[in-house]
Amino acid sequence: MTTDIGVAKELGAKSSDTPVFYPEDTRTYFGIVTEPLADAKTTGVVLLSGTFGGTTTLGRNRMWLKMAKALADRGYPVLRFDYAGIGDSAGDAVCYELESPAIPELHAGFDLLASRGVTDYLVVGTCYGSRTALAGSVGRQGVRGVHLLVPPVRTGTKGVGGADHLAEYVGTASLAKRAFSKRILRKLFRSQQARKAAVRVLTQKTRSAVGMKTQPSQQDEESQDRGAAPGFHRPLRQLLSDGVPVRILFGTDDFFWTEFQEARSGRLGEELDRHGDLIDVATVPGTVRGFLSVRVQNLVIDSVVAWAGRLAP
Amino acid sequence: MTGVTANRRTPLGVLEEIGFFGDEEQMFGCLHLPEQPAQAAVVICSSTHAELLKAYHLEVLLARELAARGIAVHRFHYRGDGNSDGADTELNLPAMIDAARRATTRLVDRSGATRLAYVGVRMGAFPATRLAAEHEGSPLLLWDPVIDADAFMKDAIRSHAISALKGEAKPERVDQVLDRLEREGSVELLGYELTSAFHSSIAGKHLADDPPTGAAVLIVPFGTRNVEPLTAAWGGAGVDVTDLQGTGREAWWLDEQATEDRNERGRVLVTRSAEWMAAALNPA
Repeated sequence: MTTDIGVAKELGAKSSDTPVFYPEDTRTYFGIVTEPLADAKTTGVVLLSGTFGGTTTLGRNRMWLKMAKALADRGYPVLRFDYAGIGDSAGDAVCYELESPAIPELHAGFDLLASRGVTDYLVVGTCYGSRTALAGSVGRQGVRGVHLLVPPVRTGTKGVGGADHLAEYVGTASLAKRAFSKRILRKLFRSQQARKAAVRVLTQKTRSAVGMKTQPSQQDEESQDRGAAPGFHRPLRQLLSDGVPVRILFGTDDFFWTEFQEARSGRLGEELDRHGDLIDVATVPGTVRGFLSVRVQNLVIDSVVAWAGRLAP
Repeated sequence: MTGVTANRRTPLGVLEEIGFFGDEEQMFGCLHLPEQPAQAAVVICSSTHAELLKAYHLEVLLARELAARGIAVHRFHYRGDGNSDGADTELNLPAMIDAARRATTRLVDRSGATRLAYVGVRMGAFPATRLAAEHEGSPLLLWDPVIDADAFMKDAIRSHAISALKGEAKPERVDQVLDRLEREGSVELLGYELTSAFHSSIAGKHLADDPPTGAAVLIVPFGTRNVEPLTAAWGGAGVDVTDLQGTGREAWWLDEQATEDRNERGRVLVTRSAEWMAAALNPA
């Protein structure tokens, strides 16, 4: 395991942005290719946002734009784009389910970069984008690495989690221990939203205890696997088997980090142990999900740039 | 920037053209040009920071709906925001108004339209209203306009404070944040840097002080937001206030699972806004 958190760098003016509709025949997706003005590498990077907001090219505080420029300043052509049905891409609004990642968009993105001279790829994704990064990279020739930022390891529509997942996957004893921690007690005291979530967890737990809950087979498999959804575990396993290195970054206060650790105690952990040299799991203090501070945004940009430099110098 | 534009023809024949325009520091702009020459054209002035992202797809849908009705549309990002050039510190109200002027010029050049109208979303209401005043008789559509710019800052600061309650940090009062903004030159709110340059450019500004002249105005407050101070001040401008049923109150700075544009409320908003605009630009 490595940590390579450094200091955020100044953004230079060594790149240019080109807007594109692609693929050529349908022009379904809108993206922006950020390319070095000189000495472009043949390794390109695809950035896959979560689905916060009405466009997926920007991110909070233009984080994806800044990441693209930081990478392009170092020679990497970069693509960021709007998923179908959002931003300037075509299509109607969709519900972005974690188990239905945007594979066509990513594959079209690879082809677009290839048409511009890119021969291999690094893929970066967060949240819904992390599932897309995993699933869309499997079997794709030229993928040299995948970087996941706070990936959700369990099933559900984007944004689903929290109370429902706590009730489903965390044991009663663990929940009780958490509930009486100072941090949680303070939250419950201050926040009505937290109190509502606590009631929801209790309700779900009770329903589950008296056998009122019916579970779709996918969740059955997750339960057996102690929580790693097939949509996370399977492509990860395949990528590692194919020799593709994967880096995963969490914040220590991220809920998804807790889920990941619990999943790691099951079959996911066996997978990670088997491919120890290919998998790199890093954490930073605090919360990364949502990129809610400039410090975290810069830290994430630095992490991705350093990772790219190691895999494709 | 390369000067290259991305072009796409929709099934209805509308040309969507996305590229960069302006001088050395370029702005990101999206043109929606109907197949037939447009008689009328609309400039959409977005909000800023988190609000730009929140309303983004709704604005795209509105532009597409208007273009489908034969109206040319220009959407754009201000310098220092969105996909435009410029550091975050360059975003301020005079620059936003200048950007709206440049977008207007570009839209008229590209479309040949002779009638203009403006859409202002939240903070975008200020540049939209100013340009509508400069082009007398231009219809003006305002989505949940910021009427009092100081209230916009307070909203942003309070949203940050609400978010801070979830963690360990003790939330600051509004006056404490504003003091810090003046001392330090910028404050970070929910991962966005709001600069003292931006704040000082909007401080004390009231939308009511800059009335449009001689054209129809449609104001769509989201939910129960009170726009009476604005409608009272603009009473002579033929102001029409419509609270589209079910629009709901948007939490502009906070993450929410479902954004407006992904549900029926968003579709109603876009359709009825486009209907109003088409009628305002082409009165019987």
